[in-house]
Amino acid sequence: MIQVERKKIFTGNSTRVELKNLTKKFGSTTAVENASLEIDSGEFMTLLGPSGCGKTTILSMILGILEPTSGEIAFNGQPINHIDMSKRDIGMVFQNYALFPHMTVFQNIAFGLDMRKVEKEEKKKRVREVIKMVQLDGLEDRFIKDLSGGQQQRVALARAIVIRPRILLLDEPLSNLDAKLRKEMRTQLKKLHRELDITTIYVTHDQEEALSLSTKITVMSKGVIQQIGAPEEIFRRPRNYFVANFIGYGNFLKGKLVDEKNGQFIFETTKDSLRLTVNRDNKHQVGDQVFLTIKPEMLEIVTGEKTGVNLLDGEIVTSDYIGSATGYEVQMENGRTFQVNVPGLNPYAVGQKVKLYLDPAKILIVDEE
Amino acid sequence: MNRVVFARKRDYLFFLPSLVPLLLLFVYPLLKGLVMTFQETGSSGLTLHNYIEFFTNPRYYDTIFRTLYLVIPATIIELIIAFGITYFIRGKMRGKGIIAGLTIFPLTLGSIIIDMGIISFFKPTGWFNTVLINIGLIDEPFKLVYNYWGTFLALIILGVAFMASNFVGIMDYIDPNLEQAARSLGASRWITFKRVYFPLIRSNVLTVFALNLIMQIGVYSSAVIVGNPASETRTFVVVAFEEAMRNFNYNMANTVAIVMGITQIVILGIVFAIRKRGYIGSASTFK
Ligand SMILES: Nc1ncnc2c1ncn2[C@@H]1O[C@H](COP(=O)(O)OP(=O)(O)OP(=O)(O)O)[C@@H](O)[C@H]1O
Ligand SMILES: [Mg+2]
Repeated sequence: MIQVERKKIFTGNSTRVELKNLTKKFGSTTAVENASLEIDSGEFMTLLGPSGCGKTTILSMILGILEPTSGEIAFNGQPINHIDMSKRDIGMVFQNYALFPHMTVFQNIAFGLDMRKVEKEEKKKRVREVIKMVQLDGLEDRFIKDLSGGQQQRVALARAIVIRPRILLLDEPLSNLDAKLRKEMRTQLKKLHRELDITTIYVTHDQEEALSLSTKITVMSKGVIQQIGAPEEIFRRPRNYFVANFIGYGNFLKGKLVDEKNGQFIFETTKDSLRLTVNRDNKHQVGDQVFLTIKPEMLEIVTGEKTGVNLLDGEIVTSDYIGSATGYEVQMENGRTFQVNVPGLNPYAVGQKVKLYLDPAKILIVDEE
Repeated sequence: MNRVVFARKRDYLFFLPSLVPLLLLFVYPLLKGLVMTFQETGSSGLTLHNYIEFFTNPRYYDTIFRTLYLVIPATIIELIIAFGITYFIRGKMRGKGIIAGLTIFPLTLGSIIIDMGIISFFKPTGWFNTVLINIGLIDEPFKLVYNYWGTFLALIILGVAFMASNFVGIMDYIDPNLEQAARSLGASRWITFKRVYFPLIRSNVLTVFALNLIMQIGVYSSAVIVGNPASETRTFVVVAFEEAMRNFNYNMANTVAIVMGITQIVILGIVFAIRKRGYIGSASTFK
């Protein structure tokens, strides 16, 4: 009966995944709360969020290791909650790879094909194909413990894709690799996704990875989805304080939009009534409690004469050379500090009096929650 | 278990001091005992008389079969029970601690207290038979003590406890993700057990089985207290003890002990030959 159901659900290779109000509780802790998410077929969706925010829990529910406390998971519109995990046809790369230590590379990769009773010659052909794809030629007969971390990771990937799954789940598959190998594998993953066109859900802490691979990003915090969007959208227009902070915005100012003039908002901080002008966006209105944020590299230091709005007097208190730029901490008289990144090697000295300019077009307004 | 063996060069010097008591307490008596088996009481000439006596007189050679007839079926049943219980409670499970604790608890009592318990529970007027008779299942009480079955039960209780205590650790060592990976690749529960879980614990399970088997070949107090040491449960140690303490024939006592030792080594060899036919490496892929 399950066999019949499976055929009905998995018609065609493209699978759309939907999570509807998915909740998972472990006793009194809520690991995932009311998550709703749609992943179109062929999409590369990244789950981004700090440790413990529920990323692995979501994958585990899709895979079938964990049963949702409430809510529904559907493939191509058909609920799959009651389908056994061995029938879901999902390729999973576990956070720790979970390769079978008593099998060779070949046997590991062929395992899923054995389960599908793929005929011997066909099996050999397909395993050889993926081995080539992940560049493991010549290692077929090695046991897993005789492989390097990066090679193990590729075996795990090969084992998951050789079955041509409907969905590929990748749980921080690159986290154990060094920076160089990680970059290489990233390129390979990207190529692979383009070639195979499998609906993919990818979990990572690493923003750079998320940005380079995904067609869509979901940011989570403490089990709650914060924002879903295309990579540019997430990085250019983070919706709230958490998302902005997580993806590297800085210089947060808490306050209220108090007025509107010539298409610009006037903003006032709660703590020290500092007034700033910021370009209007169409998501906020006067009276909103918000955060303003500006990236350190978007702040300007002005030494000469300049007049107008958003000019703040301050003094450079620390400097830190960070590769191609210098990071400064600028302190205002009332003690408030700003982080500023300026290109070049130490153009200003510690103790120097400077003016800070916050360009109204470069300031972002984000919600508190 | 099955760790990588590191090449050690001069470290063995540290090992020497602990070798001295080992030589004094173990190797010397063993060698002395071995020599005694080739001597007759009161003379120092070498002879094969003790061995000839052992292998021609059924009073002696029967102990081989009696011991094995008792111990081999018992240890196989112990293996099945201990494996079943620990497999059932592996991983995270409510009540795991209680079940594991109850199973392993007899180890802390030791064999004599277990024997006493068996007598009071399984004797014709004990709980077990009383209940069965009262609910009308049987008319005559089962004879479960002072015979083969008494010793058999004692072996089972202690053997299950010993093996289960080892299996719990062996099974916890297996990453649950391995089973989940197999299942997600399309394997049923049974195939997952057969192709992934069991091969990984097999070698350690067989090691524990072998250890338990050779320990139980040396059964004594249960054979005497709840068994019938005159016939059915006349095991190696019963005979050796009888020779030494009743007949004061230390040469024959040592001969019995040596034959027992050889039997243990042969059985160990058989189990390890079986073990070698499967995967013996580590169950983890991390180095
Ligand atoms: N089996 C479990 N029992 C109880 N709590 C659990 C269990 N599994 C996960 N949790 C809790 O649920 C929350 C989410 O865990 P999850 O593993 O999904 O985090 P994650 O986002 O994958 O983190 P990481 O990035 O560190 O892997 C955590 O607070 C965790 O402690
Ligand atoms: Mg995780």
